Amino acid sequence: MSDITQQVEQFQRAFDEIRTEIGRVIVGNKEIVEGALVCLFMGGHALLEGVPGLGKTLLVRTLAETVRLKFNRIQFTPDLMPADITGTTILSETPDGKREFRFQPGPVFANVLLADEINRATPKTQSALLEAMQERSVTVGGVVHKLEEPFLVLATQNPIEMEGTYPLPEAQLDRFLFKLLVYPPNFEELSAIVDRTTGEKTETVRPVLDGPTILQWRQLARAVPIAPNVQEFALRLILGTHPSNDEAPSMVKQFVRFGSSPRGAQALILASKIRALTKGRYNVAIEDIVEIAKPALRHRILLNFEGQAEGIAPDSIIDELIAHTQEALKISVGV
Amino acid sequence: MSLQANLSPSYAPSALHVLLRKATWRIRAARLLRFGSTGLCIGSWLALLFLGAGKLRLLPPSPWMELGPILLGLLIGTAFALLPRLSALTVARLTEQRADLKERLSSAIALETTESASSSPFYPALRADAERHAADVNLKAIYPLRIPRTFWLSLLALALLAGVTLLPSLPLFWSKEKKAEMSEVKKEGIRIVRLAQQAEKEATKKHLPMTKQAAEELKKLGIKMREGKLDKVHAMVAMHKLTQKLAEQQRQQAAQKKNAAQAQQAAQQLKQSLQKLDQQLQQRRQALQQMAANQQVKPTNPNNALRNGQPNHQQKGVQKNSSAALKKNAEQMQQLKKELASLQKMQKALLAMQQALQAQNSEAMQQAMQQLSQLAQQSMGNPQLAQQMGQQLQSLAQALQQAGLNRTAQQLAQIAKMLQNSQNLNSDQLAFLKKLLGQIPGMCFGECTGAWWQISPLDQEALLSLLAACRNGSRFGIGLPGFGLFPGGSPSGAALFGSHKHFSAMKDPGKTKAHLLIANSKGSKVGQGKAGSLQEFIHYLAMHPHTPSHAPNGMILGTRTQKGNELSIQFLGDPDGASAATPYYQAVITSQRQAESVLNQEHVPVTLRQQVRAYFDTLHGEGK
Repeated sequence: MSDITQQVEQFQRAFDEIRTEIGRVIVGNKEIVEGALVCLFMGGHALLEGVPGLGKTLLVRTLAETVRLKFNRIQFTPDLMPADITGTTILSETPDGKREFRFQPGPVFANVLLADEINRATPKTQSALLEAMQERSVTVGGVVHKLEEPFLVLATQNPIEMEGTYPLPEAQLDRFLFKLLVYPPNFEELSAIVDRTTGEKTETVRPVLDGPTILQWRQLARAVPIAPNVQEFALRLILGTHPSNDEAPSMVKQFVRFGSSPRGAQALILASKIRALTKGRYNVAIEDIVEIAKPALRHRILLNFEGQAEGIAPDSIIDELIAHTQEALKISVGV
Repeated sequence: MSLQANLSPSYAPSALHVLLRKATWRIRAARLLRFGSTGLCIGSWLALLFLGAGKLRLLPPSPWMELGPILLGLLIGTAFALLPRLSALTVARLTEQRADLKERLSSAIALETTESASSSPFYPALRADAERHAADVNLKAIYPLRIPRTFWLSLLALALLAGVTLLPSLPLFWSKEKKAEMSEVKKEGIRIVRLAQQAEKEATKKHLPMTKQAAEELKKLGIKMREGKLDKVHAMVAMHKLTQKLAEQQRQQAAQKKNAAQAQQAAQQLKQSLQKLDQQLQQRRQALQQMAANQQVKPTNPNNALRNGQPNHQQKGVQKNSSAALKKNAEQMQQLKKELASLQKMQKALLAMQQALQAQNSEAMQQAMQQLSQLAQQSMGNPQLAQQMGQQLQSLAQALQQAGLNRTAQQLAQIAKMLQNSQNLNSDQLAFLKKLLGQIPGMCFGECTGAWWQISPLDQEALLSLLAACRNGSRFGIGLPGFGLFPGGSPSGAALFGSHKHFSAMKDPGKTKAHLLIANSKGSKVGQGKAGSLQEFIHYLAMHPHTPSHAPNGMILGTRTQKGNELSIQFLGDPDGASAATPYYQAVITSQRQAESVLNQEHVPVTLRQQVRAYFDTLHGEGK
């Protein structure tokens, strides 16, 4: 068995193990768990959107525990300041009695950061976090402080309580690899949640991975080859999100104001590579692109007024786009 | 990137490539089934439509109107199925789509030619994964070869087409008239077969190749008629063609008579030349005898000189001179003997040639030419003999020209000229002359065989008898030119329409346009007649896409005038369509005599007599 085959199998096994471990605590929401794990392995960040009480925080915490990484949580409030996130320079006394300025790292200095209700903070504070997400470093007092890898931000936001919130601007939304929608549990899932959380026994998870292994696999995932025809599918999908594109479906032209940026294409392909590995494949398939398209693109498609007024969900536009692109690239030899 | 390109020697045939190759064949087969059937379906329904239009007289009937669309449809369908290029990548994508292989095959194929990708550590694993999955693919399941619905539709159309075309020709569906007609054709077929068999037997017995060949062809036609494979119209057309062919042969025979006369003249001319040669030979013989006599007298007694009172030394000188003269004389005699022998051989060869010309025997002529050629080659060392030979060949060339063998005569004349000047030729020219002499016999034989007496007079007679027998008993009135189907024969239409009756073109003259009957040019419609025989006539005309070159004489009855007179149009067939057996010069002479007779009876004005005479003189000249 070749080295690559072994590595892919190990990756697949580890991925399944983490998922199983998380599944011991988190009921349902498999796509959310998978999405979060993809972000972890890919080095991206995820925005989780869902009403309170659906287990978002628990999910993030559990994830951090399973990968033996440092976890921090920031509860975003309107009065939260950037320094509360990044840290600040404080005057402290040294053992020899001298006084000096010392950098006190903020909660952003963690491997897994939960930015709870990110839309409640002011844009200024939000941008401080988003800079850290993008640059993976924090600059305080003219000094650049590198964040430890792997660095994963899992931000949550509540879609219903919009009063007194500061919705994330489009440019900042683009920095998230995925936008994951957390849905309420169904009957079976709710039953399991109740059983697990109201009994005597509390489920705990064991760590199965560490940071260096995650970084190693991140390199492995980048080496997964993608065939030109699959890449063409992904790129056509991205281009199809632009209403100015001639080949865009009518729904896009009608309801979309702006389409995805090139970052969306990167997200789509990188995440597809991770997904291919999780399925034990050595190549990216169109199926991977299709599966990844919604979490990777839904926050990158900005609806126009008509789309918002009609209550069009970006997911339905993506569905239309996928169908349109598949039809355009369909091979027909007449048999 | 084609599949062939992918199968370059750098890659050993793998399960993946084998799968793709097989898949390509299956896709092509499936396409062929689909598009071929569609083409066939469209073509066969179109053919059915055309057939219907033909039956309704909207289109001229032609077998190509039925076969053409079918073949064209099949051809287009096949081309559409097979011509588009199927790349390996396309086949791989299609296969993996159908077998749910998650782009494994296309990734392996697409990346194998990409240097950066194929050097990736993932590529071997990807390739192995693709090979593994390719081995498990069931091509029959993913590319099923089903007979499409269009195929059944085309079968239905073809069945209808066959039904419409063939059913009326089955005896079961024949009308009373048709049955009677076919019975007539059958009887005629039996008669022709019997006639042909007899003729064939006779021809075999008497070694008459041309008659035998004609009899065989006649027999084939008769068998077809007897077996009901030809209806009356087709039988008539076939017999028409055969009669035409035989008439052509007959015409050749007529032309041979002229050739034979020419050959006789040539033989006569050669005979005169031979007589001259004979005289020369006679002279040579006399000269030889004279010399022999002189030789006997001169050297006999040397004492005669003494008796004449000549001194001794003078006697010795005379003796010496006398012996030299004798020696020279002997040499001359020897030379003369040789020449005489050669000339005798030449005479013999020329005599054989003359006889060959007279008997019109090309083989004998070739042998004679062979002898002459050898003699000419032998004579090349002797200028006098070469001169003689050249003269004789010149005479022979003139004779051959008289016999119509122009090419041989021309060559021979040139050779004769060269032979006469052979003493002035260099070695290369002599070698060339020798080569030319060697070629003459073969060339002469070829020309004789091609242009001359292939048919013996006996064969001619037998052929004529066969034609006459065929003509005399024919129910359709076929036969030699001038006896029915052809201009100058029986009344218009009698032979053509059977039963030896005049056809009544218009039973309902008020509703029929007479001019349409003979309309046969492109774009014009064939006329409508109500008589069965007229339909046949129309059918006959319609069988020829262009104006027939052998249109018969005929008469078309038109509408009646108010006074009750029926207008009619008479038309004459193409006179060139059937040439008469009478040679042209004979016809001219006969007509000239008639004209002279008319002139002598003073029916022609005096002022115009000279003009009429001059006209016939001109014709006579052309006839020559």
